[in-house]
Amino acid sequence: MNQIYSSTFLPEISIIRCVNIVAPEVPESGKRLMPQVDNWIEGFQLILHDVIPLLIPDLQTAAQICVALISCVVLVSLMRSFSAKVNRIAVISAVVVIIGALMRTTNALIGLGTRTITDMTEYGKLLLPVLTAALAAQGGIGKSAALYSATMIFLILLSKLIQKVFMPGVYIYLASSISAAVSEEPLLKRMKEFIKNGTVWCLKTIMTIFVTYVSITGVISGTTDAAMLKTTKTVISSAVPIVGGILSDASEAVLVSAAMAKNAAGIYGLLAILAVFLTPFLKLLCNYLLVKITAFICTIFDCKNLNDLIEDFSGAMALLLAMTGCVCLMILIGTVCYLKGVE
Amino acid sequence: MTSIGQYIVSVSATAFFFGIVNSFVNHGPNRQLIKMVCGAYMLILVASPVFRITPVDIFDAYKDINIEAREYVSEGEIMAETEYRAIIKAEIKQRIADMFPHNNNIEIDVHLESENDFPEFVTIRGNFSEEEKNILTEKIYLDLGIPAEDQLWTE
Repeated sequence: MNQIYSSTFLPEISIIRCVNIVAPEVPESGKRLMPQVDNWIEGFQLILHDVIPLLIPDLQTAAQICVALISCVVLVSLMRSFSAKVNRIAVISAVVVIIGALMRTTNALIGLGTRTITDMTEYGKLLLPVLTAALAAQGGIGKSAALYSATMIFLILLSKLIQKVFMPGVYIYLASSISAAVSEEPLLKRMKEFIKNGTVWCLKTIMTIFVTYVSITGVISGTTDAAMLKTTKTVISSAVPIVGGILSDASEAVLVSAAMAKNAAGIYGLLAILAVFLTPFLKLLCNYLLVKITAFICTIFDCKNLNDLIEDFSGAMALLLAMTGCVCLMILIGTVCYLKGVE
Repeated sequence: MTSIGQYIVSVSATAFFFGIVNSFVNHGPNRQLIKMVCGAYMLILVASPVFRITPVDIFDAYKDINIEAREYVSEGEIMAETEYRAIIKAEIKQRIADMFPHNNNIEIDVHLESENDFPEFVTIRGNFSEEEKNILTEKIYLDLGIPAEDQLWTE
């Protein structure tokens, strides 16, 4: 396991005896944005501050593509107004131009989304065992096992579904949209709608089940752990006065240090996930919004097929946003549940 | 991404092939049947990634994850137990050392019971008079519950 000592995040703990908790090193894709602070709010603000300059080149390219798309639709609209005969040829040519302009970007964004999901999943697989051991050291034996099982199984299920089903689904969605733009076949339209709605429904369902499961198991096992901890402490300190006191104090010290180390590792993990996630997510979001705005502007020129095609490309980007966001949200929710600890 | 590429190529190639087949049989007697067979095959091909994730895989993964969870939990417990015992030993050593305020040249070694972490026996190395030893043996017994026979005094 590739790990580093998170000593920067444990300045106070490092001078006293504490449970040796180490957070996994931030993946390569997130190193550029990873802040060297131990405070969640400050770290988040630093990530946001650093991520904006990284988006500007992509925004400029996306804006240029959008201007080209609008020009293309305007041109087709003008041609149609001069002669109805050129309608079909003009639309097909415009479809080719739109595919040429958007397919490269979309393909790059799909690649970026896939890499980000893989990076986050792999990081989650390193972070969750550390937090599980830390929470167990803090006394949350039942809760840590339940949280690990739930988060891991849902994370693996979601990432497998995304890689094997939803990502090919995005390509099929785009293929159906392109075909629907040049053909009047209603089946193609229904197919793309089915893929889009099906993907969104699956993601929503998985997230809902995950959140419900984690909440219920977290509350039930957390309460049991807390009750057990209190009983143990009381029995030890009341049974033997001096040695019992020493044992009780030692137990308290271990629990406190484990909680501090776990929180430090958890905050480092949260910031690492955000450092990996935010740049691709915001790139996707910017492209999505620009293409959406382009589709909105194109409605003025009354070219339904072309307008639908541009809208479908923005739909594909929305699907990518949803998939990346779901994986990130799942790891963040899981980590926050660990941070909540034993109450 | 290679598998995605292969998937797209296979779907596109099959669709292309069926398109050609359908154009030939467009007016034939078995038109409906051929269209149906082509459609069913295409549906299976398009949905093939879903079939690759079988429930058996998920259940196997869940079993493995549960085993992993238990391993990580026991790792945490061992970590906490090690630190817990280290803190107890350090605290007991400190308490015994505090009983010798004028003697800095002593070495104390504490052994804890494996079951309930109570001090089992103690080894004290240093120069002490018989009178000092007797007073301190009693004190260690009263304060820490370590009887005289479990206290080893060496020079």
